[in-house]
Amino acid sequence: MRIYQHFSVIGFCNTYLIGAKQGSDAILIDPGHVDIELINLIESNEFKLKYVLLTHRHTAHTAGLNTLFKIYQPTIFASGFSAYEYPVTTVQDHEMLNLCGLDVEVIHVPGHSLDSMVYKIDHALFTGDTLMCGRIGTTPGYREQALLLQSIRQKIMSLDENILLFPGHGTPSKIRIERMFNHALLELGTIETERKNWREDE
Amino acid sequence: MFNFTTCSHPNCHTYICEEGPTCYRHSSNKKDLYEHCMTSLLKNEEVVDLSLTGAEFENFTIPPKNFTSSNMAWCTFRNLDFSHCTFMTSFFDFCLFENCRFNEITCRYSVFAGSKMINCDFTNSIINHSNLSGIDTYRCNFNACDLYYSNFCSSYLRDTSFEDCNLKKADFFFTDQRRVSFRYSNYEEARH
Repeated sequence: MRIYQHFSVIGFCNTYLIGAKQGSDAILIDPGHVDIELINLIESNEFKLKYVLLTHRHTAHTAGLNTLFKIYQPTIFASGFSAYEYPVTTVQDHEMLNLCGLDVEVIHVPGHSLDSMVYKIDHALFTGDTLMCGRIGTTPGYREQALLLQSIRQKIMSLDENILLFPGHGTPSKIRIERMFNHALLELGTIETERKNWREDE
Repeated sequence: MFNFTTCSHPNCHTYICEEGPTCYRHSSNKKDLYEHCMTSLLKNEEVVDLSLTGAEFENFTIPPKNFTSSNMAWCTFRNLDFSHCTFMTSFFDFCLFENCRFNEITCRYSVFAGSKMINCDFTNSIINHSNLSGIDTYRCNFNACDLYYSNFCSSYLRDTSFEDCNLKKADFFFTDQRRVSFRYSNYEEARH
């Protein structure tokens, strides 16, 4: 699997391009801004863009779709909790998709917005605005923050701690790193690390 | 991207090396894997999809090269010179870097989180969108670096210098800073 990251200063959103191999069908996650750099990334790898996954409806993550529709004809997957002005295939929690030969697991993590979806492809987790490096997503109020923390605890922190996190904003991370250093998640308790044990082995 | 299969050893969740069912630590042919890795590091070619965790490297200079989608988490690097290298979506989390040089590197979307850095020099580097959260630095130098959107949250910074740096959108939230200098840097544009 190949994962390419694209960043635009318009919306400061990370867009991810995923394909099984060069020249294969490809998935785009959160096209916040489609510029020549992103199109070059798709074309230089000879990817055939077939699918777009939206983590949630906020403009910073979807504004590039209008440009994208002029060039490609991708199928859009998004949560059914939001309405869109273009045809969308809705996805729901626990749904398994097979796109471009890759298994995509859909995880609903509400809190930042009701329609927040996280996509797990192999050992890579595309978290959108739910969980970012060193912080959790912003919420309109404390009830939503509690919901977001509960969702993260139940649905993300229960996954393998070596899973890579690719958030909608900011830097990549791993579940273990967030569990250890993300202050918003400190209430989840400390995490056992393997480091101490393997140092002793040696 | 490197292979996401986890080690077949019980209770080990580390990703496997390129060949074989185990990670480097639990591999029966550690020597061959180490030599293969050393050859990759010392050649002038790009390092892509390399996965080797928990190894120790000492006393050599890596020629200017690209590290792409590689995983070298939990490794120990002593007296290594990574100057002029490029790191893209590579993982060096929970490593130990001692007396390493990273002068004029370009580092994007890479992870150094949880690493310990002693006497390391990153002068004149471009370190954008990189994750350095939870790092423990002692006598490190990030002078004249572009640290746009890099994350140092929850890190422990001692005798470390960030002079003349671009810190726009950098994150220093909840850092423990002792004898840290931000002279001539736009610290006010960082999150702290």
